Amino acid sequence: MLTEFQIIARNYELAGRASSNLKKALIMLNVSRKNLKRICSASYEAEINIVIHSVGGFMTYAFYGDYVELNFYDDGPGIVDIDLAMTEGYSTANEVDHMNGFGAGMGLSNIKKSSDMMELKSSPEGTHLRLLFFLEEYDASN
Amino acid sequence: MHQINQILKNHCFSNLADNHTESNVFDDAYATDLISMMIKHANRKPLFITQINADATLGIAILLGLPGIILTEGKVFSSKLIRQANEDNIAVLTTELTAVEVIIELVRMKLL
Repeated sequence: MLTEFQIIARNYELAGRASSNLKKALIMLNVSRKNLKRICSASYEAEINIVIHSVGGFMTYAFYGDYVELNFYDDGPGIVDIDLAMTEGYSTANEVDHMNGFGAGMGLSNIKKSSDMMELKSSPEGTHLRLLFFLEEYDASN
Repeated sequence: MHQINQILKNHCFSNLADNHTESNVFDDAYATDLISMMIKHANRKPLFITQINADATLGIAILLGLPGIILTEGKVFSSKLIRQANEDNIAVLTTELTAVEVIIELVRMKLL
């Protein structure tokens, strides 16, 4: 089953709502604590990226037995240089973002480290981030 | 492992959340004002020491299942965030100390 959540740009109060819902669903599925933490961490980072850097978007999540798939879509303005954006410490966050605890420039690198597969496509029309988490493999190796 | 109530023996700290959160246990602490840094270093059950009293601070504590937050330099949460912290069983300590002073106190109390 696919679940979808809207993500509103610049709304810090609702930021994290989609990831909280995802966490509840993962708990109901008895996902291990280690998997829970890494999936929620990646989801939160991706959700915050849409809140602070885009004009808005949405996320979907789905469970396929031994793996979880998350997709994040926004409507632009896109990432100009993905390699630069992946660099730890690089951030285009503003002063308001910093006051809310964001703008470390760690978001994409945290997502990459937390997930088992990450695909990132971006154009001025929007960005699509696809993440896969293989549950049993991770539990077995950690 | 230590309990939050051990920190509260020091008069520099008070808990804004309900008493039931004081039995939460922690085994580490990390001080940062950047949410992503907390995410990166939340490997065990750390306390989150920060002066950022925004929704995101509590939000990430809930998502990561952290035992507690220490708000530094006299910062507090809104009553709405305190209610949420109680629901999710997260201690919310406040202190006039800076983050560095908090770490020094926790080490002095042999809690780190």
